[in-house]
Amino acid sequence: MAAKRQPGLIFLSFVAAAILTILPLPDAMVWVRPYWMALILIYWRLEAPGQVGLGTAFVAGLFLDLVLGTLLGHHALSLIIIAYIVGRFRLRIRFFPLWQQAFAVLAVLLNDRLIHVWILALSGQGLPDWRILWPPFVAMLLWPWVFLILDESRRRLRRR
Amino acid sequence: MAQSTYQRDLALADRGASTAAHLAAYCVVAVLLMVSDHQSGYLDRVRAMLSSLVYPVYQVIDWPVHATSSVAEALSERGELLSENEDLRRRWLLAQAQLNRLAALRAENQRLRALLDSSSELGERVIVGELIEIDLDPFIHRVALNRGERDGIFIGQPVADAGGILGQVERVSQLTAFVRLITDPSHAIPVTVNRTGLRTIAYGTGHPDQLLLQDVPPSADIRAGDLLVTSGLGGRFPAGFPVGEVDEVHRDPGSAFLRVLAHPTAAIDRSREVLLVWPDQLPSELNSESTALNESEVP
Repeated sequence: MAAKRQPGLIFLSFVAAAILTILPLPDAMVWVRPYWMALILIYWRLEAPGQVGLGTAFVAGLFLDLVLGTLLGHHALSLIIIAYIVGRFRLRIRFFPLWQQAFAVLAVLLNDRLIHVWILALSGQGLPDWRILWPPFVAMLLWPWVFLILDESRRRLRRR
Repeated sequence: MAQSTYQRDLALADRGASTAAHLAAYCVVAVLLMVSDHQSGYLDRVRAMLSSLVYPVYQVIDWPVHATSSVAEALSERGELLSENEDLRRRWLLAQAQLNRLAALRAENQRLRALLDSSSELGERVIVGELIEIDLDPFIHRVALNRGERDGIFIGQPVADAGGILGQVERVSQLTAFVRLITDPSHAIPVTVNRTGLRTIAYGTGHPDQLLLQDVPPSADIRAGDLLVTSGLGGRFPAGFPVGEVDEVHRDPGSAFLRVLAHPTAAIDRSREVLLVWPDQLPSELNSESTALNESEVP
């Protein structure tokens, strides 16, 4: 894994995540939309921690706050914590087989739901119902594909 | 080679582990940002400036939606267009007739109000805005509009559609505005029952087709089918806009209040074009406008 710097791909993947976050979906599917920004962040924290650190997570979070019109700092806080946890357990998570990695992703994202609810409650925006637990499970199922797609695009870029 | 990779990995892992202080620092910054954004308005300027950066993201998503609708328009059959045209013409005629009647009523109302020396007016400046086709958090009833500070939009501005009040502007940036809908659980709007004049407050419930009135005393005269209109109290929404229609009135003998359910008259999850209303226009402008109306339309 020679770490060639790929700021273009990293930037593009975060923008793509922001677009996927607000892409209109059929009504039934909005409840299962995964936290794309977090998935992309987890990938880069595992594979290129030297390029994507807490600062990147913070900026990506602020960008998402602007896109979604949420409180400035809401998603920033959530993504920093994800970035820290993944960085902390990177060496372990990284050498898991993909399906075990997916479970680690599930755990990180369930923890994130807690932070999300905490922020909503403290800022008096009303508590969401149990459907808020869907997205982490969907993210878990999508994780292997996200991982393989990003890995493949990195490899192709490197070959060029 | 393998050795150096391993060492670098170790170094990176070490870097990852030593960021606890960074984590704390970033968390503090994020929390401070949230608190100041929540408590005071002085981050609104920063947000307004930065939001221009995210506008391209909206455009990327909105563009295909616009393109498909214009392609559909271009491909639609002549007969279809003709019948649609016919239909629209009929509706326009109907609306025009109603408008003429309303103009007469309005003039009369104005005269009576002038007699009563009342200052309450029902005449506003509006502009039409369009929803940006994006999905936000499904738990929070909010939509984005393609109008912003550039068009004079301000925070708290009422938003309506053809059916009635839709919500109010919550955040505004240069080119876009976020609107909190009246069905959001954190939203409340002062209303009055059109039939009886009873004043109360309609709360959002989190369901796109339901409003809740929970402060109505059991003795109050309210029943299914009653129209709720804005009361103008609180100074945020202008008086007289339809808000909802009462569906059910639950009388619970053990409770000090009635539980009244209503549905919004605005097409909360269906409108694409909305009106942004300026509630306080100067009375003098309004009067000159209405006198012009008097001369032209009322004999």
